[in-house]
Amino acid sequence: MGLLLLLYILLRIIPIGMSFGMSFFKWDLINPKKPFVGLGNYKKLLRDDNFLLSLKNTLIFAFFVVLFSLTISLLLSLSLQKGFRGKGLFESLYFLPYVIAVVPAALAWKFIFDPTSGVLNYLLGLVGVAPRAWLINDATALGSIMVMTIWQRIGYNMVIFSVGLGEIPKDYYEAASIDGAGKLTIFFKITLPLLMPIVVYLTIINTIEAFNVFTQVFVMTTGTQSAPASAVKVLVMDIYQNAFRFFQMGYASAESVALFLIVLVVSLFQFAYFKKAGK
Amino acid sequence: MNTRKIVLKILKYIILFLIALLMFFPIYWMIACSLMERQEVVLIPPHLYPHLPTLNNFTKLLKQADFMNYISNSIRIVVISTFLSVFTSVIGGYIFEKFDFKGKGFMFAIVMATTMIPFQTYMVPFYLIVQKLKLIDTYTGIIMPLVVTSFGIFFIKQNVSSIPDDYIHAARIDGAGEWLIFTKVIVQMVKASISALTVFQFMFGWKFFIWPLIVTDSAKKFTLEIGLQIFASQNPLDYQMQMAGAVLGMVPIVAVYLLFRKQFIGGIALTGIK
Repeated sequence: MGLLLLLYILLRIIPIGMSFGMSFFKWDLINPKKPFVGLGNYKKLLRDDNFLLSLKNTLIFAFFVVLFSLTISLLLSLSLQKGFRGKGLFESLYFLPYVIAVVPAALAWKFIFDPTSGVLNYLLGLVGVAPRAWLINDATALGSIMVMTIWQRIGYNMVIFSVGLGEIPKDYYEAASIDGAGKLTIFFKITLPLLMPIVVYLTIINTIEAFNVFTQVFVMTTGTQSAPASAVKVLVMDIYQNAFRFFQMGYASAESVALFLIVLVVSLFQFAYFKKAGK
Repeated sequence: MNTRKIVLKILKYIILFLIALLMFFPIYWMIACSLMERQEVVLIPPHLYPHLPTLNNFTKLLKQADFMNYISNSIRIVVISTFLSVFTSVIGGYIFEKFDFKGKGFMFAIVMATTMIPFQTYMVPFYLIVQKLKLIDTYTGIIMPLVVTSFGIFFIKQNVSSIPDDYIHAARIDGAGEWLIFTKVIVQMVKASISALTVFQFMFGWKFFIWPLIVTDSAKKFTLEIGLQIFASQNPLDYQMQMAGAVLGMVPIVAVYLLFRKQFIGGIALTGIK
């Protein structure tokens, strides 16, 4: 147990504490002098166009990814309720994208979005949509990465929704249909309220995950034929660049603390909800 | 009325099937293109399946000694880190649930407080620590963030709580040592949760990208994910080779998924609902 505590201190407590500590210093990796700058890094953040842009992009990204992946997966798990033939097969297929690692998935999507040889432009061309440079174009780049992310998240959310739906007692539905309630009424009056804890839980988990998005953005912005780094810059990408490209460790730490605070607020929201619900 | 129901049912199957097709298409496309030669992969209009399937891309990739090395690095890292994190979770979860000691409440509070904190928020200082320990570009350095998981400890603790204390007392009266109790009683009784956690940690380790990216700087230590990303950035127009690499990066985890499909989906379901 002592060892476990030691591991925790070394691997979690110290780094998390250091994130806060370093954020008050001008901590340059090369320069041995690390002057204390107080809130200087934070003040600089608020005026940093890169930070503000990545914050804006991350918010947009999180909002749409959470909204669409939750809606789609809820619809899917509703149609794949118990007793539905082929449930297992469909579930396994929908779940598959979640399993595969992000780099292979991002490479496959990058090629699908490719402006010259990409299959998406060809398929859309068949129905009369003009070809576009999906990833290269500022207007569609972030959206394209969202599509890929939603595609990966659906399976996970669907499985959790299915469990939640399975736990709703059958009697409720029977009673409601005897009373002559329509399908929509049943959904909004019975299913959704009873499913609310799961909806909140998944919203939180997906939001935190979306705020920490990095891999697919990194893959889709490297090399030629890729997304313009500015149009899809997200928070973790900016932290990564400030820390490991420009070696501004203190500044990157202040940015990490900002990310930490966002995650904290989101988690507190969940905490408050479950406390209110008395769970 | 009845025909209407049947039509609706068929319609539902068709829609679900189309969605399945859409979900599977990127994976299919990756595999199809990995079997094409360069001339075929860039054709417009594209061939929707390889007309002259070939395994050349794979043999070429694997002949580059690096790729074999990436694969073995990835497997080594993910196996060791999964083992260690599951081990620390089971021990930790068991001790937190069944033993009393000074400072337990405080320690557990620390563990729980870090469950929600993403690695990304403390990766910068983590790098400096690993640098201080002179572990940059080593396997130990890559594995370090993965050896404890607060979530795992919490998850196992929940499951251990269903084991009656009497079992443990009975074993102790029979003269079983603590280690024997742990391996023969505890581990046996929470087997299902251990395998769910194992699958979960395996997937997590395999997908872990940002840390190996930061902490490795020689091709010798690259994981498959990193090696693949570097390869793709150096050969941006060799789509067929990139897709072959992507298939290689996908196969191990998909193989594990297909073998342990029940644990995967069941594990996600178990671990998701607290």
